[in-house]
Amino acid sequence: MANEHEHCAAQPYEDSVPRVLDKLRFHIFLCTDGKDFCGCEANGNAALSGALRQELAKRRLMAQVKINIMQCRQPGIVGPVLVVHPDGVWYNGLKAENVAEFVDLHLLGGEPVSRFVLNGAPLPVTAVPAHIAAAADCCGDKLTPEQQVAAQTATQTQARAG
Amino acid sequence: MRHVFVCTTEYGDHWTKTIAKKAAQVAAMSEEERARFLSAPAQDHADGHRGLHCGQTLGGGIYELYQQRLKAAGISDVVVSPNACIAQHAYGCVVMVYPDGIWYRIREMADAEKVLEQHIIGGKPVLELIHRRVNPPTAKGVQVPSASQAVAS
Repeated sequence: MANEHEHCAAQPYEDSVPRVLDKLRFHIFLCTDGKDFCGCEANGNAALSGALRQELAKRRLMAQVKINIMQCRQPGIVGPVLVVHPDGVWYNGLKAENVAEFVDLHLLGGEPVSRFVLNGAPLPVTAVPAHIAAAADCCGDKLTPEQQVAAQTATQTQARAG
Repeated sequence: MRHVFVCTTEYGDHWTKTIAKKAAQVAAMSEEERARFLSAPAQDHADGHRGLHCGQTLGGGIYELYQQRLKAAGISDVVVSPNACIAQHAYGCVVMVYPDGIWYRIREMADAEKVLEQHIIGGKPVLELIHRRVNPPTAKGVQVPSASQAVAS
């Protein structure tokens, strides 16, 4: 029988990545566009990024929160822009001194810090539509590929014995 | 609203700094080294990542394609952003679709078009191209590590 999980099974490369992603809860994107769009770089983006990383390291949350760099390409916004996914909350004007509050309220408490949430489009996204969660559910397995194989073998052995 | 991230590290004018750095490295190489650097994806590179970055292979093309197609189709509730390296380029170019929390591995442009039409516009995930899933936003915040875990790690 072909392995039905082949498409989502990990390949042996940088083997720390699957383990990190299993725990991952938030994927934070920081805008670094300095030129034509939001001007995040001029508005203290580097300080924000550094403070956020320090705060996460201090609270031992690095495995559950991944920080990434992007360009938001949103014209007319004064940065720095920070997007928290998969919640889909866009922050605007969060500064290094507000990082502790942000971690407390949003990352630990689950409630966005409303005074920094970006007004107007793009709107925050609240939840994954049910049909998407159902359709792709087979890849949300917490088992590693080895554990999946082991589980399959165990079921087959049981079936033969029974 | 969907937020799509296309890995475009080292593509175009967004990455002038890294391009300049890499260009200096490449310029300092001998011809043999340069040929090996550009042709061997499995090679270990100076920045600690194996393989060519997504922007050097497919990333830029995918980003431009998505922008063009979405504009032509008049779809305004999808934001496409170029993002920096997430160290997965040994698998192929990675396209992340949030809030669904699905990462795709793209090996050719046909795959990218399939993801665009089936998932980003159509709303149905392309199962055979899924690289990883990130936990959907069902839980509240993160779980704080307990005292025993903190001591152990």
